[in-house]
Amino acid sequence: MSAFRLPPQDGEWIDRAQEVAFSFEGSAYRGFAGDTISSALLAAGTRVLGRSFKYHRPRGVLSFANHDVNVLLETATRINIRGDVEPLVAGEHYKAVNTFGGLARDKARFIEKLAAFLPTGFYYKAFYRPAASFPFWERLIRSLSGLGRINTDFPTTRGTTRRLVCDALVIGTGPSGLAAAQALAAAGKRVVVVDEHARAGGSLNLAQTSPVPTAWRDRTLAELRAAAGVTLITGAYAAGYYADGTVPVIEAERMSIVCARAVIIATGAIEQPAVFHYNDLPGVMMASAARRLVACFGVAPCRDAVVLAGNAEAYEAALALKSAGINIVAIADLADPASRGDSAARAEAAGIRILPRTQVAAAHAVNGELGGVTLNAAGAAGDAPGQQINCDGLLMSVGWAPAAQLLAQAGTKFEFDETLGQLRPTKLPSGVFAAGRVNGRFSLVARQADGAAAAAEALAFLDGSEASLARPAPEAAPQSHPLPLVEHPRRKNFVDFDEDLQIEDLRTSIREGFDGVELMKRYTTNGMGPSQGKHSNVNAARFLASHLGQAVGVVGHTTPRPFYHPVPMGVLGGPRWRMHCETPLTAAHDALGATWTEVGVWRRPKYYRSEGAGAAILEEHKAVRERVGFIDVSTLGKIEVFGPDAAALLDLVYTSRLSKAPVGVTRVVMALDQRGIIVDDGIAARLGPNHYYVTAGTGHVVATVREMNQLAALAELDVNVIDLTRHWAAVNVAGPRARELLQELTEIDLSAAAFPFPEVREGRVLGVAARVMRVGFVGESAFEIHLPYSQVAPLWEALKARAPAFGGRPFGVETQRLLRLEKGHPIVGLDTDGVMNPFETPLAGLVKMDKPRFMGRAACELLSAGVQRQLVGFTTDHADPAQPIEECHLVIDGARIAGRVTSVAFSPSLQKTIGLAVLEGESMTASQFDIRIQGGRLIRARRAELPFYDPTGARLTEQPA
Amino acid sequence: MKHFECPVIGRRPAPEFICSGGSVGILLMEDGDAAREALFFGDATARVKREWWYHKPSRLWFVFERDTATDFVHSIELATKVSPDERV
Repeated sequence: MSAFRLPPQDGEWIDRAQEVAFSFEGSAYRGFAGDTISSALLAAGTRVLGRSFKYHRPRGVLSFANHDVNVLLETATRINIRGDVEPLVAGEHYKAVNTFGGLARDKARFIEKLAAFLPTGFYYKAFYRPAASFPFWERLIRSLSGLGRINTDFPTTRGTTRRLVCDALVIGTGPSGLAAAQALAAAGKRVVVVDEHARAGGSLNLAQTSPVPTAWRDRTLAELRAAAGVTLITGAYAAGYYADGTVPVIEAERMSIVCARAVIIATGAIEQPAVFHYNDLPGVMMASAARRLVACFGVAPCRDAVVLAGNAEAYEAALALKSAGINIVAIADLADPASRGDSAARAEAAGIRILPRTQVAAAHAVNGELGGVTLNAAGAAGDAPGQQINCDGLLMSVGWAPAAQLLAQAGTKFEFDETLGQLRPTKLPSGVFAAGRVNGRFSLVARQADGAAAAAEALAFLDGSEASLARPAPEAAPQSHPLPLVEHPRRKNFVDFDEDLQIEDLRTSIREGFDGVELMKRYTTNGMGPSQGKHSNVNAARFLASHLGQAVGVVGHTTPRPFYHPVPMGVLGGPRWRMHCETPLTAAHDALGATWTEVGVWRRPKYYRSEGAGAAILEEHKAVRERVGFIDVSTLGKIEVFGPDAAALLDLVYTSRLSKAPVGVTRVVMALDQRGIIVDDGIAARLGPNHYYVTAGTGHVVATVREMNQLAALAELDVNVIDLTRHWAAVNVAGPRARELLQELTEIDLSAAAFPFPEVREGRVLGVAARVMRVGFVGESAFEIHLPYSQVAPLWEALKARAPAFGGRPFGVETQRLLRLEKGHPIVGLDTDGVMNPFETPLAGLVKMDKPRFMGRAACELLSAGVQRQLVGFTTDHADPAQPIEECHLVIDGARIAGRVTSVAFSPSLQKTIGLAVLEGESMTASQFDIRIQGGRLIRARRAELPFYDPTGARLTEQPA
Repeated sequence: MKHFECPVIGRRPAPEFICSGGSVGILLMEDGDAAREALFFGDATARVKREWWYHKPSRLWFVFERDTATDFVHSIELATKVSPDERV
């Protein structure tokens, strides 16, 4: 048994049968399974566990509840390890962060001697001139302060994410949270219950003088564990309150996004430190920290303790620790002990020395740890005469701050309760309920009743009924000392332990005009460290209020934004899912040696075989232009539009007049938004008077269907719009011999006379009902076959089997893009940008302004008159593969940027480089322009008419030119 | 998670909806100048607005009367049921 490990405690969290070996700062230690890193070190008598951020002062356990970062550790693979709450890992080697040459002999501890010269904001005041010196000082200061070093070789950890949908979320499992969860579970509700400590119980897990509360805790927890609808998550914190009951709950490697209809916030209160000279010495800690160490870990916080009392709970702490075998040297009560109810009498009866109206003026260090305290009259100056008492522990029980962060984020209104000495919620948003200490209830009975009443209100909210329980009255006795700050001329009276801020820094801030809570926070960085003010905001506000002669309620409080604790990036990021869609032909493409590319959510073959992109694309291009090629275009958006008003709807959605298209014919269509911007294009095939089949862009079909439905609702049209994208597949067969390749597979007469461009036919292909369209985007005689998803594979196999006889082959999306570019068809979203209107493109002819009403028409009226840029074709003889022209290369006119290239490729058909470019302003009409390629060289390009290939369209329509 | 109490399809979670198309009354305007005023110089202050909302699973369009300052939804109507003046 080590020096500070107590005999086994009832309900302790450690397993004394299981020893855990680890090292800290190079020395070997042994703890027990269930220990945190700090509890194991304290049990071994090691009390200096870290060095402070700025002055490298020795620090130890303060809150032991993750409300401070005095014990911030790192290992070979992790940083930001909070020793007070992280479970001990066997064999791990822990080191304190921010030391130079180790914790014990930190070489940077000299900085403390300079503290008088380092007031708040000194670094901005001292080093701003000359400007060039700032980086030097900044680097030096940054290297001396910090919270660990990031090692980019750390293994990547990715958390998982899940969603928990429930009727009610209860945050906190103290008396009020447990009572609330119990009532909700009894009502059969689905309840998620969360607590940030390793085990549930909240303040019931602190050392007590009576076994009654812990017995109730264990019974209630057993009930909750047995209840079917209850999910209890411990070792997890609610990181923030987001709209409508959405609360992310963070565990070590998982985020649960809890979606609750009602949220009960029973987060309790955060114990606050007293501020006096050397209040940061290891050995000075919160009374609740000492009680948790004893009850949960069987660790004595010290041998001889002085308790500083600002409330009745201090006496409970003293009595509980005394019964655990710790010598209570004295209780220094900041007020009259008679005001603490019967607590003082019980302490007196137990033989504890009580010093009324006494404060701790200063602490004294022995070997860098607490060795004694100076006590003087409450309210006196820090250096006023007093008595010195030797002790190795000072337990502070001077007040609380409600853990109201989540309540504030939910939009709760608060008032400062002067009696209680804390903020109390006065108006809660709908569906949010507060209970327990955070709601100003302090006695065990009141907290249990408050929790039960909150649950009754939540049940009423869920079921639309009346709440059946009344709330207990708020606590009437003060629980927090109004100003537990003692100024000492020798300073070192710390307000914020994260940031090493002292009363003097707050005073400087006020003196220099930063005298509001938010201003002071930013000027001093009080509350801006990893603890986010959990132990410092209240004292800073109290100091400011006393200095300004205002009430704390008037001074106000800073806004607590999410997250409650810093959340690791890996947990926030979650698993990296990359989901994509596949057509039914994925295996067939793989069998052909496809090289894949991502197009929106789809994976598509870029080209086939692996002899290199250039050669494969050239071969595929040659096959389509001279013989025949076929491509899987199943990714196209496919929409069925039918009903008496089908034509009227498409006339509204698209710029062209589809009501005039004859049955059996296809039309190229373009859709605009309200602002006249091109959002989609496709082909509309009229299958009957009231029946159209429309293709849409791969990425835009969902929006197109949505907008069709919107316009149908808007115009009260009798029409049905069905998205067939994932139901129908499509294969395009293109090239001079397309007809020969395909004719034997279908009953449809494919002859030019019977089925001319740009028509559509319905009929059987390989015995399956299909639709075949003559489409023209690659510029050859082409047939696009649409048929059900499940039927496309046999068609593909048949084409593949027959193709060699016609010199045909499959082609990929990269080849298709080249073929399309040769025909000068811009691709919406690639050649057009998010603000391009049709009048800036070769698609202007698709806008039928004589149509009275269509989406974007009003904007088109304005836009057609003021075209300021133009998407044009260009050619150049430059074809050096080592110095290629690429997409987004700039068009340069003199010294001015005059546009950019949107598509460019070497055309095998034309034997020169072709492309599309946007030309802006005056350059819009230029017949020649320069393109600046990588390295800055300018390449002369000539504007060219579109299309580049087969300008008359003779190959497409099969009419003589 | 936010849910909407819809008179037509009942209580549905917010992620099933998409707020698209903005305020009612300006989607299919006929006059160019009026459209420009509405689209680029319209009142963007947070207040109660009547907006187009689409329910993805049912492909139904609704008009929500929503306070964009508080995200409180005052009423939900099927788009085909609102007055023709708003359906432009």
